[in-house]
Amino acid sequence: MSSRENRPGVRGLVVLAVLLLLWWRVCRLEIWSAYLLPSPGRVARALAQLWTSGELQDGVLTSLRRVGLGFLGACCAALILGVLNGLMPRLAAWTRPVVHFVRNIPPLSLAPLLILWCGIGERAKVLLIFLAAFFPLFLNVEKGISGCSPALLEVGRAFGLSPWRRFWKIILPSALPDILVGMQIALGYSWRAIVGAEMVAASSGLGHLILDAQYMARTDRVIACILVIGLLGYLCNRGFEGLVGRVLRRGTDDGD
Amino acid sequence: MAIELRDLHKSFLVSGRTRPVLRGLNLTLREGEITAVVGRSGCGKTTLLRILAGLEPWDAGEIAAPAGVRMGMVFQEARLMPWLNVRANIAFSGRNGRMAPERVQELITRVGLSGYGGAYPAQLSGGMRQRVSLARALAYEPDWLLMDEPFSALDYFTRADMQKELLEIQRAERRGILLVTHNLDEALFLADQVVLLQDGRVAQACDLRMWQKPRDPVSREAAAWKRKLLDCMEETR
Repeated sequence: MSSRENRPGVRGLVVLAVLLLLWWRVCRLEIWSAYLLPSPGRVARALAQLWTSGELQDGVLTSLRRVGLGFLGACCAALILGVLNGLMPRLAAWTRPVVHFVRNIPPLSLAPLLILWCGIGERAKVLLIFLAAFFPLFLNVEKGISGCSPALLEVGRAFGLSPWRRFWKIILPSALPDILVGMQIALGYSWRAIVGAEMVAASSGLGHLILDAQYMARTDRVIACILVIGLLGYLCNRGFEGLVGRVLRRGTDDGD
Repeated sequence: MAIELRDLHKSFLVSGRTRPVLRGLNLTLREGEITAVVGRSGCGKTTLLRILAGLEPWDAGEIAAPAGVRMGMVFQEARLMPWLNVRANIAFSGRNGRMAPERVQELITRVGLSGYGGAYPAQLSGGMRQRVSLARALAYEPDWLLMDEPFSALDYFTRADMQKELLEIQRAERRGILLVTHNLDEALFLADQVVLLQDGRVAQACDLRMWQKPRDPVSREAAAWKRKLLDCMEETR
């Protein structure tokens, strides 16, 4: 890889270093109290404390499990329903108003109802993640499937492919970039939802750790957990970006 | 495997009005020969090809073709699958979606793309993409190749190369070829029969089998054949 290609990563690190330096400097100047804005050193110590006590690992694993379950469920449902809607424009005409109505409701606003219906256990939290992840993925799957080039579909017909094989060999691969982008967005939404859900009703997970730290007036722990959430989200996103990049590098345009 | 088209009719509904495109077309496509179809835009050339490829139904008339005849289509644009490399694009049309790697390599060599098997369509030039499209149609093992102005977007030199390749394919594999073209010189260089379509019917059919291939497009003979073809076209105006 050339040094030019490395530059975006290096630039990101430079910005990060500048922000860290700024944070450290502001704390040194004592503009705000250490309670409102703890120093990077204090946050690092809080992070180490959370790690050695095992609370951080427990919180991360619990949140990851919830995100995994909700996201997986959303993927299954969104893929099936998105494909059906994409293949059947008449069905899409029926479902579109409901989809756009429900997708504009913030999942967190449904938390009281979900807790009422499903209790305070895991089901309500996984359902919240499901709701947050489902719609962006569903809409992208539908767009990808319905946007398949009629010219390419005609190639399949001209070479005698059955409708089933046309779906597997033309429609699905052509929709793959949209599906992957939808999954990337959905995963980001899942992270946002899990922290919110765990702050509303949970006794474990990263969101719960943040709320617990707030009750104990430990701003350093709050910031440490926020940084961990950011890092996990960043790593998930990087993983997906790599996957999307590999698919898109093969090209989506045949130049015709 | 000759194909007989008898009294073929086809109309399209355009803005609520029925617009006839083919009006009683009669044509015989002889086995192992190249038939070039020429004519003005909108005379029904592409519709004829699409009907034979099974992409359009026809309204009335008859197509007498042997059972199980296979038609391999080469579209005006390459229409390659952008997510597949050259090898996979060629194997795409193989029977049951499978094809021996040796056969794929043979086709890659035949269309002059050795060394490009792993390339994706976006990495190829227009001419190279059209070659892949031709190889894909050949991989289908068709009895007939249907070609819709396949070389129209190519530069002079690439077009000349592709025409020579097509002649070689016809000579080696004895496949019937139905070629729709706007280019009279191309029709004269390649075809055993040139069919002039006008108002959805065959207005003239010129038999060129007496003229030996390979043909010199700037010879006196070529000029004479061109004159004859132009006279035919002039008579039908």
